[in-house]
Amino acid sequence: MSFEPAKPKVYLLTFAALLVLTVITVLAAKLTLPKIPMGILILDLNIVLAMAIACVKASLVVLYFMHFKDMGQVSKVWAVAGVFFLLVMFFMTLGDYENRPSEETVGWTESGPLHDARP
Amino acid sequence: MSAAGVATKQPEAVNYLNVDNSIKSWLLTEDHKRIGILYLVTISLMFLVGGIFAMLIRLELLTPAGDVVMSDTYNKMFTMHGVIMIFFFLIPSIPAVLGNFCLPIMIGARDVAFPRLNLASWYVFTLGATLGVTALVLGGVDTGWTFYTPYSSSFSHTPVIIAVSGAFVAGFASIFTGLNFIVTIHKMRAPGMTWFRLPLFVWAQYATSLIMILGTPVIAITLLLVAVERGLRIGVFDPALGGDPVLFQHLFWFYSHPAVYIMILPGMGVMSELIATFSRKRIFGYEFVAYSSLAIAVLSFVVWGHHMFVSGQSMYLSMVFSVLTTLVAIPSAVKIFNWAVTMHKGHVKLDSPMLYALSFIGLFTIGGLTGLFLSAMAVDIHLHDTYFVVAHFHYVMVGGAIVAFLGALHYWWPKMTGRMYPEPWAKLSALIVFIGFNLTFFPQFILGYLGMPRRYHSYPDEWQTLNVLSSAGASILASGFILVAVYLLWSLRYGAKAPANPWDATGLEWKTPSPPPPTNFTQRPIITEEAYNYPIVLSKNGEPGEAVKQEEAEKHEHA
Amino acid sequence: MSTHEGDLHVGHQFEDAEQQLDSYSAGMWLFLVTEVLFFGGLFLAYIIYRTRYTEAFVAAHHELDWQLGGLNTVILITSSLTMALGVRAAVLNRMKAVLGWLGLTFLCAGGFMVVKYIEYSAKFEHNLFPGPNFEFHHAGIDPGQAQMFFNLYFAMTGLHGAHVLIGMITMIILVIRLWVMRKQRIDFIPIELTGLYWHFVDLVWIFLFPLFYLVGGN
Repeated sequence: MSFEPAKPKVYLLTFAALLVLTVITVLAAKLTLPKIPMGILILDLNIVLAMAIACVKASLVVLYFMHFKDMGQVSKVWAVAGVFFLLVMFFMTLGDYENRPSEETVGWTESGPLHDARP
Repeated sequence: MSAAGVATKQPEAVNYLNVDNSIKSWLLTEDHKRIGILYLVTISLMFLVGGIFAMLIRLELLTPAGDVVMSDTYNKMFTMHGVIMIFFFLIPSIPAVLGNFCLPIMIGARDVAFPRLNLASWYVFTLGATLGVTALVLGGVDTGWTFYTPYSSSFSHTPVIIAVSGAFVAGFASIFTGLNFIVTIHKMRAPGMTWFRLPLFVWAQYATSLIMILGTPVIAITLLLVAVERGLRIGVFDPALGGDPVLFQHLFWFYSHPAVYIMILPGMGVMSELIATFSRKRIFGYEFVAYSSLAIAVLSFVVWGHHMFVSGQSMYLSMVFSVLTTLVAIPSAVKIFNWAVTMHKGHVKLDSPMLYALSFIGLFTIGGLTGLFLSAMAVDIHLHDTYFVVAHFHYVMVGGAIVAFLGALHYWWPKMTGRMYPEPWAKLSALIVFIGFNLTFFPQFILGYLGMPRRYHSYPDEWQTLNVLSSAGASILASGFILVAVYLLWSLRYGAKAPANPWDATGLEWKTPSPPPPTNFTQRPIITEEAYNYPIVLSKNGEPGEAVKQEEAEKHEHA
Repeated sequence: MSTHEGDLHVGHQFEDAEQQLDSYSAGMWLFLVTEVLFFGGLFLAYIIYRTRYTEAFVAAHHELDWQLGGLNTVILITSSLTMALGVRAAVLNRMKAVLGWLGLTFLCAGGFMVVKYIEYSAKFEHNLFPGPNFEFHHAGIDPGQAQMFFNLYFAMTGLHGAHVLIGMITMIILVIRLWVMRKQRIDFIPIELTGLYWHFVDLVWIFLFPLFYLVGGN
């Protein structure tokens, strides 16, 4: 591993790309995208789009500002592992909320679960 | 291993203990060995405090009526017992004391990669422990060690913020240790020390560090949120603020289940060292044991929901967690079987560390198998929050982690202090701890199965016999621990001088004098063979006289 | 690694400068991994409540000024650029350039905090800080759910702001260290590590900006 720095041009291009993507993410928020119900959650596709753009921006920062190619093997493996376990935490927890009975149908009656127990 | 750093026979040799005796040299030390000793002193004090609470709990449970303390006080007692034992004793026990002391020597390094961070870790830990004790002095916390919201954040009238900050701060000590170990293992190995020549203790420390690095930050932010929710009423867990308490449980157990493996994985690493040394054999299936540590660490992150089967969590997710939980049994069993096979036809010597190792195998197996009961959802509904759970995790944490810690302490004590302890007393202590432990916790399995709930200070009369047995066992167990403390402290002054390699073991730490010199080795070791290069037995009658070094046997083949 | 080692100090535990550099770099990346999971807990809370209280979050986010948030985004991206150039100058041993770029980065960080202060004080004035004084009136929106938006807003941007402050303090220490050791070859390792930390702070904000200021989907 070494810290042979990139040419200033690389940094400036990254900077410009980040600015352009910032404008795109602002514009993307003006769109009205569908909302998908999942359990007690509602997935708004706007957030998915915004996060996709943010991931691209984050990748640019990691790849060029943080010199991903110059990183040691250890750092690379651990960076990937960190993101992997973060996603495990996100998706397994979301798995709970997605599959919980929605709040209107909470309760357990004589005829079985998932029936409206409220008066 | 190489001849580098072989013990010199001079009695006055400079070692890490006598190189400088001033208090300042201890408090500002960057030597991993001294930091290990500092940690040992701190966690021993915390163990004493936590142990006193355990005895008070067993005293209260001696009689069915809640007659010794009020129920509120009882809540504080089991909470402080749990908080202190888990955050301030078990989590740092093997990694911060014996890992710190042995790991750099085992890989042939002069020190860990970041010595100052290592010292900072001890200071941060001590600060956390001080906060924990402060919460205790201010009257104690009554939330249970799990700090479940909204009770902890909104209703408890005890110093929760201080206790939570203590655990938060101690978490950073854990992160520092884990970070240091990972970089040290990757970057500081001596020439020739390949991954598959590493002692299995090092593999286990690596797996432990993985959990420390990936899990601890999550508990840190969670506890921070609890403190903020309590202090500022900005919160994400309290239903009164629109929050979901189950989210707290998800975040809490995302760390705290893997944290169980922070406690047990280093113990498993110790086992591999002890079993190999005292069976005089290479660990059977070295690669499997090494990878099983990593497998346990990774699997530990996908099973946390089994703590939440009755929390209102989606039952579909509970099913997934239930199945995943049973998978942990596979790498755990790999270890147990491989240790058993290692002992098979080995020259088993029943020195005191080996006695601890053998009791670990028995107790951990019971702890692990009862864990399988609890991982099954239907059984867990019946056993949830009963003494069955209490017995299960004490079999793992005391029968596993603490017995392993004691085994390790006995094994490396001559190396750490340069003194031998009295072996007959040590053997007796291993026996007392084993008997006392089983008498304390086995009746609790039955009590739990009969339905006795945990965290109550009174119980129906018909459970008294079993509870009296348990309390009696706790007294025996405590006297075992006290005995260990007495003869180890005695040995510091009166014990015989320890040779460099009292157990006739392989491994780099036994090639350097006891206690080791400040930089561990007189010259940098070059590694040419694996950690467990024990003589292999060539004859069928198994006489040690006919044993030939593995390497020599290979040479014969070539010749 | 040969040309830049110069007379860099090598710690007693290391064999050579390369091992030292590798170790520090790996250590910093591991620290950043812990930071990812540290923020991760809050992001998980955000995801849960954002998807649960969708309408309240959309309504509440109109109380934030996306132009100020956007300004801060641009400021942080700019500071990442100046920091990257500062690290480059440090490796090339150009003292004046290092001081200049670090100074610019510091100014950007200060600017970010000033904008943050303006935003926070506006929220306090409008009783949007969660707690007993919280007021949120919007037809059909549960104020408790809107309060959750501000809970998360203050928790996440507050934690991020704390990281910005720590970065600024680190930069001051770096400059003092450079001044004290001005006669020697620049020890670029601390600057490189601070740079990694600073880019991470930028990276967190890249996610926070759309999550709070651009909830969208009315």
